[in-house]
Formats: sequence, C-alpha cells, structure tokens
Amino acid sequence: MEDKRRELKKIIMDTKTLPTLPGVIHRLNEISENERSTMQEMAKIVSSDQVLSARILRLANSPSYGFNRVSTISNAMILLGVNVVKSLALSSTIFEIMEKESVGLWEHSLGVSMAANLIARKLSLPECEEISTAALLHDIGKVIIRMKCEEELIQIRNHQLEEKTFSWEAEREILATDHAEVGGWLAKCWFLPDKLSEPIAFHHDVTQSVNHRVKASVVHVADALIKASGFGDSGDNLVPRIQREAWDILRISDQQLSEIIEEMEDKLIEVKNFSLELQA
Amino acid sequence: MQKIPLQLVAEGMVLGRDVFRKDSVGGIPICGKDTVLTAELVKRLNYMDIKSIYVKGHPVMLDGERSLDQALEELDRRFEKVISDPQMARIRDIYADYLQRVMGDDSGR
Repeated sequence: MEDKRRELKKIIMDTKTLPTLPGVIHRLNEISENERSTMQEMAKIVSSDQVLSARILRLANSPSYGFNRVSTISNAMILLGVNVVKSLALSSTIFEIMEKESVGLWEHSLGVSMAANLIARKLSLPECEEISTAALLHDIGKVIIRMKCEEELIQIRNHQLEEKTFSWEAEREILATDHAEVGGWLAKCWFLPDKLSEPIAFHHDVTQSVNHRVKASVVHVADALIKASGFGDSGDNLVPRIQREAWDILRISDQQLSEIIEEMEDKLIEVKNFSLELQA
Repeated sequence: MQKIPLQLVAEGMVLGRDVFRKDSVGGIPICGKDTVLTAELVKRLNYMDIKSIYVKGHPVMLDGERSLDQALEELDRRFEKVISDPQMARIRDIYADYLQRVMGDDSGR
C-alpha cells in the first residue's frame, strides 16, 4: 500500500504533466525576493499578462474577500498582499480547468473561501485574506486526482456510494492517499508558504497541522458548514464531523456560530451570482 | 425575509432592510426598511444600479427552490452521519431554525 502511495506521488508530481506555471510567477518570485522592489513593479509584471490580471481582479472582487470594487492590480496587491496574489496566480491555471470541468467543485471552493473569511473576521483572526485563499485552494487535490487518476476515480466513487463513506476515506482505500495530502504535495511543489499548504493538507485532520492549526481549523469548519448548507458540489453529500481540536482552538461561541451561519447563508446568494457571472 | 434580484420585485412588496447606495454601505440609506415598493421606486433603484434588495416575507419562489419540508428533509439527510455528535446536532438545529425562519409560514409566503 505504501509503495502504491509513493508511486502515485511520483506520477502526480511528475512536473512534465502538471499544469505549468505562467512565466509571470517566476518573475514575480524573483522580484518579491528583492527588498527594494516596489509594489508598482510587481503590479506591472502581473499586468503584463492580461488573462491573469483579469482573473486576479475577478477573484479580488469576489464575495470571498468582501472588498468593494477592486479595479487595479496594484490595489489588489495592496489589499490582498503579494503572497495571496502570487498563489491566486498559481492557482488560476488549475481553476480554469475546475471552472469548466466541475462547476460544483468550483462553487464549493468559492463558498468555503467566503465562509472561512467570515469566520476569521468574526473571531478577529490575523491574516484573513490568507485564510480565504487557503480555503479557495483546499480541494485542489481533487482536481489533480480527477486529472491523473481517471480509472481509479470510478472505483473511488463506487466505494463512496456503496460504503457511504466520505470522499477522502474512499480515496485512501483505493489510492492509499487522499485529496488533502495530494493538495499538500502540490502546494509544496509550487513553493506556497506553510500558511497556505498546511490548511490545504490538513483540512480533514487539523491535529496534523504543526504551525498553522488555527488556519487549518477555520478551513475545516468552513468546509463542514458549506457542506451543511448544501451549497455547490464537493463530491461529498454528507456533512463531516468537526474535530474536537478545531472547536477547542477556535472557541466559537453559540451566539457567534448562529451569526456566522446566518451571514453565510446571506452571502451565498452573492457567491452564486458571482459564479454564474464567471460562467457567462 | 428574502433577498431577491431587483428584476423580480413587484409593486406592493415591503422592504425588509434599508437600501444603501452601492458605494457607501453604512452611509445614509436611500430607502428605508418597511417602505412599500412602487413601480416608480423600483425604477429609481434600478437607475442607482441596485442589483438586489431584501423584502419581507418570502414572496418569490426562485428557480430550483424547495419547500420547507423538502429543505428540512435534505438537511437531515446531509447530517445523517454526525447527528449523534452533540456539537454537530447543534449546528443542524441552527440550520433548521434558520430555514424555518426564512421559509416557514411566519415568513409570509
């Protein structure tokens, strides 16, 4: 079983077939390492790629981030931070596939991102935007599994239906790994910071998160809440149990929980509109 | 209370929340809660680029929307595996309560 997992990791992480990163990212990396470079310089690089700029602006204006009308790349970079813009740029390639192939998963991701942002703000946590981005990317491993393991995918789905298990349990049974771990591998491969890769890799088991357990817990709770509301289609129709450890670390009061759910349901209408606009 | 796109607003519906200008959320409302909507008013809101508003009750059945009973049934089905966990059962109750409030008889559909 362990061999199978390793073999799969090799196949999955074969850089020749992984979605390639736009050249812009490499230049952005170089520039962001130089302390003397300015936000304007970085914005200029992103702006040179029209498609990428459009996607970043669309995402920055999505209900996930809750800003009002971000109209320039430099504003997006100031509001969201360079790291977030970098990871949005990284994920834009893969989301292009997700948007076309699986609107349900895209909507689920947008919903979880909005919910995570709401929770983070309600609890006055630092780095809300990073949490939104991690939430937006949390199921990116599912996209990779869909791309790379077409044959096994049918077995996974059948196993899930027959045994009434969650997707990650079925994935572990058939692939000896799951979409969270695969997402974590991908995040490492793309050199995303820990604060993004940990919540992605451990959104189904926050106890494994060492450095960013709070962020992982927010994504974990947001994922369960969006599944509870039945919004989008993550591939799981059942609500997973929220781990004791996540409750303990976040300490969400009953009152806060009710408020979060109410506001979330309210915002889901906007998320749905946003997703429909993107598809149009 | 229901949030609906402005295109679906009909005369006689009652505003459930204040309406603000798009660029100044938190500023002075342009139309107050409890206002009865008229065609003239809707035209003005449209002119101000307001896309959706909150109205009292639940006057519009949106595409794909289900009845309260159906919604509650689906909710229970989604919670099937975790309902024995007290914390998860509480989340289920908050949702059920929410659904009842926005879709139930009291909401005035």
